[in-house]
Amino acid sequence: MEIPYTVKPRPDTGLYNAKLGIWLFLASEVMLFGALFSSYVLLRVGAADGTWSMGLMDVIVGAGNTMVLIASSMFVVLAWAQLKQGDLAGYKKWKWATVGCAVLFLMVKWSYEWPSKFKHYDVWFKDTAVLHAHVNEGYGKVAGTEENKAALRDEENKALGLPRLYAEKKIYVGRYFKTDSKKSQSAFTKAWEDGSLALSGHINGYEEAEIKVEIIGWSSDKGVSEADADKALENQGAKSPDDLRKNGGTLLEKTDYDTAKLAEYKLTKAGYSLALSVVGYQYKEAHPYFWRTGRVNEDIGGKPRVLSIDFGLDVNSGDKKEHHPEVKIFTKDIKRLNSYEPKHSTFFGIYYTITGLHAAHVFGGIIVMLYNLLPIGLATWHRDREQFANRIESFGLFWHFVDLVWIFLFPILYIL
Amino acid sequence: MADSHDSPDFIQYLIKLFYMVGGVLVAGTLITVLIDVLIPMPLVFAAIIGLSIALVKSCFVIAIFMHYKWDKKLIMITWTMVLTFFFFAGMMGLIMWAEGDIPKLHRPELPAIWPILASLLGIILPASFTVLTIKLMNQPAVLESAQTPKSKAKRTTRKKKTT
Amino acid sequence: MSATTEATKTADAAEVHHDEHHDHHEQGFWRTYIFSTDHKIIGIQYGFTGLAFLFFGFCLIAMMRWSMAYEGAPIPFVGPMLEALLGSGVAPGGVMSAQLYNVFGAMHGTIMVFMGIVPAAFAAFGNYVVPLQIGAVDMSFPRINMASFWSFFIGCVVMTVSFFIPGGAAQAGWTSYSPLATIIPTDGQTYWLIGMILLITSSLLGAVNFLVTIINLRAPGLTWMRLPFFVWAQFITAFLLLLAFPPLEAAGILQLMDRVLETSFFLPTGLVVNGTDVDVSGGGSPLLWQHLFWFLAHPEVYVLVLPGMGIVAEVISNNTRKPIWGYKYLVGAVVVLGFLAFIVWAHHMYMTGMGTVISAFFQTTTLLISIPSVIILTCLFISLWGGSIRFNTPMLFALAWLPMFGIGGLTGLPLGFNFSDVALHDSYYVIAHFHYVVAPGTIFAIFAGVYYWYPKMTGRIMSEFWGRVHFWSSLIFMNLIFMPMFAQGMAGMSRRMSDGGATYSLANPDNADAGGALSDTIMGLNVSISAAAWAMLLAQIPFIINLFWSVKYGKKVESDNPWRATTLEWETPTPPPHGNFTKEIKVYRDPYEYSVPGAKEDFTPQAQPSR
Repeated sequence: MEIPYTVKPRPDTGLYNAKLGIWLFLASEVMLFGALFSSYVLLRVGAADGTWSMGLMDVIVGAGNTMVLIASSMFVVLAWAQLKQGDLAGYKKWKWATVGCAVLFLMVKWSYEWPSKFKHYDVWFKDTAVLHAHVNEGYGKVAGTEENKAALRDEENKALGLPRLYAEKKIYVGRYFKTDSKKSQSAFTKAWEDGSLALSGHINGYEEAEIKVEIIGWSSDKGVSEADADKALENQGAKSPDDLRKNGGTLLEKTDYDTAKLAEYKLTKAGYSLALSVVGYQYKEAHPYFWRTGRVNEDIGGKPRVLSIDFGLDVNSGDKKEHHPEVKIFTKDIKRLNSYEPKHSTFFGIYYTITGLHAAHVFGGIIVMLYNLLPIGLATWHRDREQFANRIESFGLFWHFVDLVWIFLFPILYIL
Repeated sequence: MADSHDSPDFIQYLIKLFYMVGGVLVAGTLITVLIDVLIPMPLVFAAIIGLSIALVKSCFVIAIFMHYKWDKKLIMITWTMVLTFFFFAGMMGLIMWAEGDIPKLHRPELPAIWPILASLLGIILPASFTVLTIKLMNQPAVLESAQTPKSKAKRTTRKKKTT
Repeated sequence: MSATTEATKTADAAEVHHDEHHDHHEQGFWRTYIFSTDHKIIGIQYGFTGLAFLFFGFCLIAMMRWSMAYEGAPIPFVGPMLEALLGSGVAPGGVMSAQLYNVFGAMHGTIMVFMGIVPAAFAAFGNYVVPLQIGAVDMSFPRINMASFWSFFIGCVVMTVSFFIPGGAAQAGWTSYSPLATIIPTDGQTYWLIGMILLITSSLLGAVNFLVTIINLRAPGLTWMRLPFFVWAQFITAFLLLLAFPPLEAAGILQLMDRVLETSFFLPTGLVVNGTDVDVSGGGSPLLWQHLFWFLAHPEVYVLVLPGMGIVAEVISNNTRKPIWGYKYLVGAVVVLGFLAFIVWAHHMYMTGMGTVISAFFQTTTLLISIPSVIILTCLFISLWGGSIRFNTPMLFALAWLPMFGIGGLTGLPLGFNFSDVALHDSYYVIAHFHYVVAPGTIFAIFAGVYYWYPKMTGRIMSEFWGRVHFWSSLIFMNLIFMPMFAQGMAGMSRRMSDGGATYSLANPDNADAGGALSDTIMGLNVSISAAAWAMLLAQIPFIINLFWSVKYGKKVESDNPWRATTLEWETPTPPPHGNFTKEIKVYRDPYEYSVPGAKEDFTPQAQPSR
């Protein structure tokens, strides 16, 4: 029993099954990405003035990735052409080139573009005065730059009063408006005055709590025997577990957050009740990923887990020693802290979703291409050349669709 | 595809076209980036220019890379594409319209002509589709043994006998 | 280098045919019955799973109806089981809590629509019958067909498992509106979203399969206008699934991101939950979810209804011994119906504050879409005229479908006008309306299909006596359940109230002076409706027994074509072997050549060259 028109096209429709099937599948994909595009348009049009981030994408990198995908699109169809001429070696060459481009595309996206965003932060403040103070301090350090000197000569900026504001305004306007217009100016002024401006930059270091862990008591409610409970204490470094269990006391004088929390988790499971308290703060130089408000504010015995962060602001100070001007932000002043992850804003949410889904399609395509390049898939070529060529043609249609989506994504997300 | 597209000359011609289209796509991308970087303009203009260039690029990809220029006559593909784009446009358009058409206190009551026009649109779309459907249904039946029209090239001997 | 020399060189390799479809000599139990690529097995798999979930979904509502009729009382028999399985948090002392009611309500809808009707009416009958009716050996992509079933199955597993996780299954309605669906802290909604993505993937794969099969694998001579109407119905249904499901998949992904990654696609700015500001960026739109959801969900209801229409057309034509009246009108109507289905969805959203202009557009298209439905129904009614009607069980169900679907369709009209929808939106009137089209509508059509095609699948006929018992009891109880709901809805009873509306009834002392409070009569209907529902549940037992019993003990068929039908599926041996047909199939005539004057018999099969 053989299914007809698997290889040869049916005369009245002119199509073989897989080709028709892939076109229909692409129709459904148009609707899938179309719904995401529609969501994008709706969310963007509905966003209040000055709340939709722009200019945060690296246009050059995006354009480069676009070229890579265009090249891959061309390579995949050249591979098919070689196949139609019976040239298996030529097919392999061009197909491997396609795979290479696809892998390059994903690497640029997943090991450069996305990670660089995950350690970039926006900070919003509870108090307008605190925001203003930080801006003055931070961007005051760039007062000496040529840009700012020029800005001071500009009457309007003189009226606003502060050259360092020029840097912040430039960042804000460049981030939310396509051009420096009256609308953008007034949006900035409003954000400045009501304190809804976010400071953008990197966390260069932070003071994290040093924690004392005390055992308050123990009960056998968790069904753990005394011996096992002692064992648990021993594992956490207790010298005389028996004594600690009966009378309570300090387990760890001063330890870092992770150790303390692990001990708390394990010992609670063993039936202990503990008290964690902050005895001091230790400075750590690091560029963390994915921090959010709750992480810095996390309450430990009434004190925050992170006391302050050294925040490197986004503008270049022109000073070799101090590359980006830095301010010290106390977490008690922070209303919201978020890295450039999906949660940050609807812009980033839709950006990651749509490019993520697209990247998933690229990844799926790589898998299929590998299948058609390795002996397991090439067996079909040796069995029935036309069927194999058809298979490659069908895949090519899918790959071109993936390219088409990116052709629209690039201007929409990177340029507009 | 066992038709005129099997001839080596045609494949060579296609290969040349592929390189050309690749060049067009690269050029389009460069133009888009240059215009954005060099010319400051309001969002609306940037959107129109950027999306128009993208549209042109996509037409080349569909017509040449996806072979649609020669597959246009395959009505299944054409119909699928047309219907899909129509529903995509409808989805986006109607959602945007619904979000925009929300009564607000400060917005004056719209004159009655607008709901009437909207209703007319609601009648015209299915009516045109119905007319199209009736026309299609009344076309003479195509038997599966019929050749596709305009296919004049000889079949190359690619027949494989698999049982 | 010419391709021909290459071809001849590898000709030897071609001799060794190892197309997977050929190697069926030594397939074990697993490949034959579980991981089968044969459309008939897959159809039966879908059928059993679909029917099982229809029953399960019915059990959920049976329990809910107890809460509506006797709120606060423990559910007999089942109550202690619920408490044991789901905990005293949601079922204290066997009483259904409001939260459990919401869970069951959301899952009843989801299960019935996506795990009951779609697999049973579309996938099961479609997979089994369509390739047979077009004279094909299988679906065009058998392995994708198998993948489609297993994706569906895993989706069902995820949905079922979600009942037992802490916090229970989804509880924000089958419509899963944001922000509620996003902020519910337990994981049920997340499982629902993941389950939906799997179910949607299954439907998409299935839709592609159906479309390519119908377009490309029709037997020689089977032109488009010679297709049985059932195939046309499945064709349009597949198109609806193909183009309408992906936006919900996209929306599901967005809602999943809202829940898991705390994005704000559907959460507005300034959202406050339980007195605290939600720590999200805001800027999203709850209405966006509704648009994307209903963009699918409206075509989805036509997906639920169209296969039923197809089944009924087949059964009616066969049992009136007449061609269907108005075949061309039927085809035209179903095609236009498919088109219109995509541009009516916002009639589910009249109450969201849409302006008059856009409402006018959707109102117009909604009213226009009733026209093709009426055309289809009318053609089927007219088909009865002058027929020599055989009142066997499938015909009884098909005949009942006609007025039942008619009631369902007509009662949709006040919902289509936005001025009357203002009063009826989210009331029991809506429930009555859509249940009439789907329950005594599509489910009756499914029953008709089961009784009709059972002889082809098994070689035996189901018991006619028990079939009639099943029919009459189902018909009576179905109407006792849903007809009163129109009255309840018009009296103002809202949907989704676990106490059956007691809070808003006159019996509640708080409402003594309130105009529009629900009267005792209306509230009393809750009891009779619930009783009818439980009776309906019991009435399915003879059917279930009949279904299994008749495989072994049912009356054997005397020929491959016991109903003396014209369509191609009856040309196969019984049951059809792998590959379906033992002779070459060529189609010479229209699908319903019954009682043609001058013909030898009162029916002429499509594949028969001469009368």
